[in-house]
Amino acid sequence: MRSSFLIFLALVLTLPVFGEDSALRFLEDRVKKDPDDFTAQNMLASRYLDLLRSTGEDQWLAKARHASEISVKAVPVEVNIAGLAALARVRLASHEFAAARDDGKRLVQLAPHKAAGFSILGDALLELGDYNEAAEAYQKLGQLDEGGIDSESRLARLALVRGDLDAAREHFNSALTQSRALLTPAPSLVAWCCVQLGQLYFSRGDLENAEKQYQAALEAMPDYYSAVDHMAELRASQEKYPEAIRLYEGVITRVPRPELCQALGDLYAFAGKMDQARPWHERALTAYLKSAEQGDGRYIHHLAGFYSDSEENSGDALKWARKDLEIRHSVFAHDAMAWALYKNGQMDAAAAEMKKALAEGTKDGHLYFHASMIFSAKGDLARGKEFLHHAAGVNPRYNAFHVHR
Amino acid sequence: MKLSAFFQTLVAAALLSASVLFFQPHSARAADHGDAPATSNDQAADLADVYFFLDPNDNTKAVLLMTVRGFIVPGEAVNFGIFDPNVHYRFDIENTGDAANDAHYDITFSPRTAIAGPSPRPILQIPQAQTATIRLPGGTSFTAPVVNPSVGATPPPQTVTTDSASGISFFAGEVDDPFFFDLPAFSRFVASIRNGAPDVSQLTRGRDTFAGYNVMGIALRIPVAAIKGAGNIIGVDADTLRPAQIVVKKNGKKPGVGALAQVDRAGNPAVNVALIPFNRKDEYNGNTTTDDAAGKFSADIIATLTALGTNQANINILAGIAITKGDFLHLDVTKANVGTQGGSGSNGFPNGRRLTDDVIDTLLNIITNGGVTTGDNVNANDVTFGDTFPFFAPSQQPLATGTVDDNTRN
Repeated sequence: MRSSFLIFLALVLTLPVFGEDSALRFLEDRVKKDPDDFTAQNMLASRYLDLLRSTGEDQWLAKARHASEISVKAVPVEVNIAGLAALARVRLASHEFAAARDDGKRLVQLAPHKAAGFSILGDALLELGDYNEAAEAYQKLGQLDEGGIDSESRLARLALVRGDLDAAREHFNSALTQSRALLTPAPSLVAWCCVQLGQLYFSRGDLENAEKQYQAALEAMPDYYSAVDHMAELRASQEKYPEAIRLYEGVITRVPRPELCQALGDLYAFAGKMDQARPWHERALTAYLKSAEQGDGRYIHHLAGFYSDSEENSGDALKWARKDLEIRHSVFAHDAMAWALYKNGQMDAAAAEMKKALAEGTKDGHLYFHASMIFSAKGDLARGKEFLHHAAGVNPRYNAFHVHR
Repeated sequence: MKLSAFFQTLVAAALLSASVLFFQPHSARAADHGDAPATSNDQAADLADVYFFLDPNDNTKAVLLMTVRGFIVPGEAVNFGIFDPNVHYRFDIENTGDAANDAHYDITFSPRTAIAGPSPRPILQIPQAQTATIRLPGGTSFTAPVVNPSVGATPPPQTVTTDSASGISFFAGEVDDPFFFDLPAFSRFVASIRNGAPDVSQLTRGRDTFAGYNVMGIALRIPVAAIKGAGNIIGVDADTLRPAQIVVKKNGKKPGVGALAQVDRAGNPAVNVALIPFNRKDEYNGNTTTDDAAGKFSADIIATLTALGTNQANINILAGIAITKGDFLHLDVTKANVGTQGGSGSNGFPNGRRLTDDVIDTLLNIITNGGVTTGDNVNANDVTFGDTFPFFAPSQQPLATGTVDDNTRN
């Protein structure tokens, strides 16, 4: 009866196709009149997070935080589990992984038979780099949602980290098929799944299938910024630079996310047009630093990579990689640290860090390339060669332009 | 030592074949999967409320209502105004004086079909009306159209189908959520009790949390003689069930197969919401009225009531309603029901439940041993119910731009 709905109302991906504006207006009007209406606040937070996912516009994250924080202030989380779940998702999206993990644990404690707590807990643990614990949470999630979209999409990501690329593809395919069969059409969810699957193909050098998935994403949701972002990357990888630039510039006009600016700058640099790269890099860097100064952790990892590769500054690369590792100890945080150490000429430390990055068995061309460079520079040419072969084995086009992994 | 891109290229070139000679290192950002989807809540099978009363226009007929999938915002009807074709929506009937079901009425729905939307986005399809199949005890059935939801300025008309063979009338479609209740106030009141300092002032807000929202409604009007046993008391609850085997997987859309598994159940209002601990709510939903009578949840319910300060006499009253003979709405069919909007005045909840019954006030009064006399200060629905079957108020429609909704006070 009503209880289960009320508990987890805010957790549901709504993805409205029709009436989105009027629904938002309805809920916003409701909370203007009655800020303590935690049910409406929770629904608003959920819709804002959906909009963040589908549009990439940061305004929705701020609004979701506002709504969820008011919700849990209005009604204690012990009787407002949906409010806690909404806040936890906001924290996840804000890269406040430790706080999200703690929220997830609380949710699991309060409602152990609900899938949502385990998905939040697993997501936070995965981002933190606690893979075994994340796997346990996802296993429980899979039992509760019976192999549904939530668990399949997350098991895909876990499989990616652990180097089981075929399993990752199977899980993403399952999530995509299920998203297409939902009772309520969810084009942005379909598009999201297509992009994940396409990126997986792309990371293995299968540009043909990657493009099919990106096209399918754009058919489901023509303006989906993430699909455009990935399509631009793919075009650049095909050396169709004018089209890639046009796509990047178009999406940046709509969604001025700094990582998109960095990608365009990287593309210009990749094409040898450093003068044209610089303004985009400066724009990205300004936004990254402003974000970090405001205590936002979302771009710390980006800063490490930016200073390592886009506009090399090995000292700052190390500084931000260290900060990234303070937040999490994931494969990719260790990789960023290893690469920053390499850039600083600390080869022994870089190799030690890279071993941590490789410990999960992640099969990633970019990661293997870093390993190759580090071990070669350390003097272990045999291992360096081995890792470069791994890179080419995973992705024969690993040396083509790419920004995602 | 700072290593240049050129050095990296040389190293790579030395290590591998010429095919990778022209390598240019660049940054790559790890995928941010913090935006992974959250879909796992079976809203289509999530029961909201059950109502059971005699038709005030003809007391020889009983009216059974269930609502599912609450909090549909007007304007999202096209997305959410759907009955899941894999769900069985069931009314259980108990008419022998125990806690076991004696019969049930099953309602299922055809898949929603749609025609292609206008170019250039045909994926924005235009949904068509579903068809319901109503299966009666004894194996007969009839079909009826479901009201197709609308986001227009006026609600679609409520279509009632009457089966001439059984005399049973049926309605299904999106309707105004008939529940009225100040949920924040109640939640804060409960929290204050948990904190050891009951604060009745939390109940003075007087805002109907459910005002303005829609819900999916299913209604049956059945001759009392068809569901009555030897006695005059009839119990009704509602269940939602799905085929136990989940089949919408890698092969795409498929109908459910296998034995039915209960997803949710509802009888008396607020039993699960207020009296069952969070960690057993799903278990409660998956169990039966005979489990209730066997005492499976009685310790938890009594513990909750004791914590709320309910005295033994009132615990016994509530146990009689929701435990002893299972969590059914029990209706004495000899007690007349009269009045507009499906009936009002005496002979209401906990004698069955009518749309106008202020069940929260009744329960708050019992739970607090009469300490709360004004309930949650939400005393009626935000819109008027119908005077004839199916009695649901029409669906709420999207408000015109510039109209600020404030129907929460009544």
